[in-house]
Amino acid sequence: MSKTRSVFTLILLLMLLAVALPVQGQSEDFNWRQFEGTEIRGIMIQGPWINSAQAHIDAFEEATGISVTLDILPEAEAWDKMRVEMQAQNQNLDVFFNQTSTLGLEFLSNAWVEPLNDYIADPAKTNAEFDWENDFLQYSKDGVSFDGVVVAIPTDRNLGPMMFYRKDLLEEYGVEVPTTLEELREAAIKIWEDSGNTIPGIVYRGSGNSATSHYAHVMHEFGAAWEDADGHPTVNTPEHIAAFKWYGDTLREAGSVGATAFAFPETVNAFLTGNAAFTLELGINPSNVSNSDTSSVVGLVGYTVIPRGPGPEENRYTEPCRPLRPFGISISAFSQKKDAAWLFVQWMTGFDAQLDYLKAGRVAARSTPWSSTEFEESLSEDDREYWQAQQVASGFCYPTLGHAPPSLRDQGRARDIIGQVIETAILGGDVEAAAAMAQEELDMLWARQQN
Amino acid sequence: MALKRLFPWMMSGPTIIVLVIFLAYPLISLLLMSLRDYGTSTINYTYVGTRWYEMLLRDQRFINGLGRTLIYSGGSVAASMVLGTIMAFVLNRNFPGVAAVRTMFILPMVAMPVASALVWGTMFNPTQGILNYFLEILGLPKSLWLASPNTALISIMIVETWMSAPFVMLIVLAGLRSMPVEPLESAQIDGANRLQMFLYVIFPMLRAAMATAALFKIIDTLKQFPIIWVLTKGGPLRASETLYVYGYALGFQFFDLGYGAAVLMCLLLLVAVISFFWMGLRRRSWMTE
Repeated sequence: MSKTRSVFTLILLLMLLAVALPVQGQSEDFNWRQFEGTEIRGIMIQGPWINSAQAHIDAFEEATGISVTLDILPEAEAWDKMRVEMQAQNQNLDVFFNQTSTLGLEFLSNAWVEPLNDYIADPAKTNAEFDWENDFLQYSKDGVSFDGVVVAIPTDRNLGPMMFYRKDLLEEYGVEVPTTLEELREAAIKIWEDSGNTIPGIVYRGSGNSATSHYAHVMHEFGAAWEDADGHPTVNTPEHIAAFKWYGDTLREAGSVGATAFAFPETVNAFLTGNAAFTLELGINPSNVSNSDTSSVVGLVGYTVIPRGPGPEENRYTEPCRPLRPFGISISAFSQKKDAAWLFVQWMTGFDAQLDYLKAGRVAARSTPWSSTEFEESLSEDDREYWQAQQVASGFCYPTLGHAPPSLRDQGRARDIIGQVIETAILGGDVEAAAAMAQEELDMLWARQQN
Repeated sequence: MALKRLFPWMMSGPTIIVLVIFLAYPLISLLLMSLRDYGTSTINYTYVGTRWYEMLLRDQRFINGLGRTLIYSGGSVAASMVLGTIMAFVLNRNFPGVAAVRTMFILPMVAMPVASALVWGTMFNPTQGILNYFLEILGLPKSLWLASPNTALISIMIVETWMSAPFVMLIVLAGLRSMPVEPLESAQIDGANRLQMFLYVIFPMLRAAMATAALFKIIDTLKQFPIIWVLTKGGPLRASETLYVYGYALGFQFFDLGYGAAVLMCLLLLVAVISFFWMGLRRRSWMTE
């Protein structure tokens, strides 16, 4: 019996080897040094991806002989710089980090981005191990495709909306973990007041343009959406007004002083330096929190999904679920070194880079890192709590996508317009009037787009 | 004879060529751009005539920006003139270490605007900034500085004044140093007090130098961009958005190139009108002197 089993096992192993060998063989045959001596240039944004990618950029340069120069800029500056360089048809820009939710349609319709379908399909250009078809999550693949045109290779799947909280402060001030947005507001105000106005209760983005990405979660929890049933942009419904007021009042009343200046870095910094009890900022991840070089709240942070708002719960599970457009790496349509740039894109979205990105607390776009033992072994208890919450949050599927009405091509201006209402709410101004004005401006943008 | 006639053109030719390349060409490009609609695409454009200029008259954001630009420029130039003049009078005296103090006072002028703005940005921080710390020590209420629409523009004007005053100081100091002593001695003999000496003797002699300094600073402040952008990007609630910042946002954030160009053409016109008006005033004052 055992002999039969051994023979069976051996045959199975040989079969597996037979299947595996050609793949491995092709992979080894792939010539990573075909563009040795080439120099490529890119624009990337400051944040979790570039932090985890640095070591892989060095490895790429060593393995390919291609030298890489990157401008790494804060998000808003990076988008501006990309637009200016694209407008100038700069041939010296080869690769760029693409926030496809904001830039995807705009860059594609302006013919600024190189479609990647032909590259993916060409075995001479693409390493067999890249495995676009099977390894990348379908959700992320759909997210970077516009009518079938792949504009970027995704680095991640968008994070689901979460809440981070300071376990120690909640215990000290006798506050339960909030399960609704109203409870969150009350808890944040209580901590701010009970601490003698020394500990801000909550921090999240308040700087107009940047804040719309997090307002999007709150408004859906209030039952609002970016567009009406006809697909027309809308921001002045009663649900929106209630959401804007919650967003602004909570920040103001819970002690987040100067919140209108808070974009991603300021918000992360405030929470990690211990200057808030709660946050909704998705730029924070467990690797930030547990790094004592950058965090003074190591071991003190709890994770859960965003608390429920007064809107219908079905909003969280809209069918059919359309994918949120993720971050990805793209090639400029004006690049003179597109093939070398494609090697860079492949390398930086390969298994190793994605595994490190996942370990840093981001939802990798590839599936294999998730099932790897390296990932499993890297998880601390806090990490597991984070991922459990994120797993639930990632399942949310709100009715409308993105950081501004997705039907508007000029996402930058739309975010700027909506950001004015958010800032008005934070400063305690007339939200109804601001929302009405924003609606007018969005209508004008919409009308102009139709012409 | 022909050579004699051509000679002035030959001499001024290189300058004219440089001016055409670096001044006339961009200016004409901007003007043409302001007459086109690039849409949300930036590849093609259509000619729209004066449509953007007509729209500007109804654009409240433009009108508010124009008002803010004038307040920003007028306020910060006036404050710079007063502060710079006081600094010049202080440094016109001889006291131990005057050279070191003079150098220190000039530093804001030579510092990189972006670096200065970043430092000021941390000082203005409502919770951790040093300015609110001092206000607290003095028992005064804290300010939101850049975070409030009520104080954002004034806060940036403080930075502008800090950067501009040394320039005024240098010009006024040069004027004071080159001033003949005889009129001052005569005034002293005639029994004029310090205020009278300043108002009726020193100031008239400094007026030309101060007017030049003011003109330079007016032009500088009307087209100030880096410190506003670094400190507030025109916010909060566009409370510090000047015409330049609005034009930049339109052109380089929203890629509404035609409308952005129209806004910047108006700014250019504003600078030109104020400069000509100012120079006209000066010319008239020279003729009456």
